[in-house]
Amino acid sequence: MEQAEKKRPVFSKKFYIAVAVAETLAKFVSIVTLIRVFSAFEDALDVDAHAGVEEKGTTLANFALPYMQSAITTLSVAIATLVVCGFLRHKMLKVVAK
Amino acid sequence: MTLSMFVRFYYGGGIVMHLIGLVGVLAIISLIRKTLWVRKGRDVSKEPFFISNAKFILVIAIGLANVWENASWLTNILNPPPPPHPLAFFYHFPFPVNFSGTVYALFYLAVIIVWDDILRLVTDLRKFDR
Repeated sequence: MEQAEKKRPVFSKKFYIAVAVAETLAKFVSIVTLIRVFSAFEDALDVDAHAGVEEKGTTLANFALPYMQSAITTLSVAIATLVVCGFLRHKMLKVVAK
Repeated sequence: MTLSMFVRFYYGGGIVMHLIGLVGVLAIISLIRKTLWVRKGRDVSKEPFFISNAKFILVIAIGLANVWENASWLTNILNPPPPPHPLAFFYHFPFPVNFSGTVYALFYLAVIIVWDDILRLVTDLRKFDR
């Protein structure tokens, strides 16, 4: 009985809070990044609508695509954090619920 | 009614914004109800709330709003939109300015996710104390 209790991993409340906060932050960051990506595209389309005949179609490549590269990196980090934190949180809750 | 006339009538993606706003407001009312239940100490983990459905609907709305805005963007180039209606404020209620439908949906989604996560954290921490 004692051995079984010793084997059961114990998680601190603070660690659980840290993981949950990191998970929520990752969700928030991914949504804010998506908002900024959509805004960048909308701005590019707006600029394109008023561009001259020769510049038409180039604004998207010049304006929105460089921004997309940093957005994809941010989204990748946020999604990775989300997966790791979600996994940890579920594992901790399972142990606590026992 | 052609798509062009329909878009001109609801220019700025008004109808999509109304639907997104309705889902968002309903989700926030549901979140207030859930918050009161959590404060009373009730276990809300197995109670049905509108919040999870709202998240799903808003993700669909993001796609819908994109299609809608592309349509209105093209229509606005072909036929410039009429001047703002005196009741134009209600097109983007409850927001003070006219954002795009996608940004509306994402804004509601962010508020709902963060608020719901805080409630879940409070409920989970009670399990640690038991």
